[in-house]
Amino acid sequence: MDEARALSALDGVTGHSGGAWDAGIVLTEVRFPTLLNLRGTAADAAFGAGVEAALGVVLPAAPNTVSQADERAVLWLAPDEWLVVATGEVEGLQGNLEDAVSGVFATVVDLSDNYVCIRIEGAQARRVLQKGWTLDLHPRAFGVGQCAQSMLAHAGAILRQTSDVPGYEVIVRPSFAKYTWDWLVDASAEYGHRVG
Amino acid sequence: MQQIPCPWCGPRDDWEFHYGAEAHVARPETPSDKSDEDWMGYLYLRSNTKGPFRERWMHAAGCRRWFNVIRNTVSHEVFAVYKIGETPPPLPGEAPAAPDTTER
Repeated sequence: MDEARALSALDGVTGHSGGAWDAGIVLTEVRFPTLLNLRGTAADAAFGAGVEAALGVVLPAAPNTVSQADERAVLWLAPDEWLVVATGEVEGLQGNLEDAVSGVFATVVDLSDNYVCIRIEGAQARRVLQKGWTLDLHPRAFGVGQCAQSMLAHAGAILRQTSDVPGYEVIVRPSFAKYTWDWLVDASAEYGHRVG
Repeated sequence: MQQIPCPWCGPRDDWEFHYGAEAHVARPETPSDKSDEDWMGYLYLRSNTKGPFRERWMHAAGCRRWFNVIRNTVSHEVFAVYKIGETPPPLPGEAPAAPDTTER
């Protein structure tokens, strides 16, 4: 019997890795990050403490900010809602988080299969995104440690900056993954792109 | 492009929002006591104000939270935004309102 294999909405879309070494844009699918939707009361100290104990990350209180420690990031989505983005060793992560907030008013829902994550990095990455993203990404207005929800070329997206290169991660629904990837490739054409 | 200041996310383009009609329409506390006329009033009758108007908006493409806006329905000028449950700021030219104690 064939071994079970994880499939991504971008399988067969991203093409082979490679491209010009000096391409202005590097596009990479972040394969299968663990994404947990976390809801609770920000003002409840026990809730924040539980999250911090389970993830090693302080719950971000300021709107549209990100707390990150190693391979764990927590994105502010709403006053009572966050998205945990985890890579690397994630075995038992959801259970640990559920246990840590079991005594308070909170929910943890695994949304890993509900999103596709695309990384765009390169000297021209900001110019590419600004073709379809209306919020200001200039360093005076947006930087590492910030996230935002809006539309990227009409597709609902969660965007966060991950490096000063600059690099960004775009999180979209699987049904928008191919569209978003193709749009990013097209928008990158004038700068040249490489698949990471 | 008109921008609406979300109480959490700050100014965003108007297409990120959904309109939620008149604010502070309180659901009857004891629904079983209400007559058909009362229900019709709660469900359908709105003030249709010309000028500054308290209304609900939802930041649909962003944090997906409902909040209140005081907006001039003629000029679209936004005078104030405030969160659900907060005391409504006075309308332009109006004395400060009593605290909103509506249960939600």
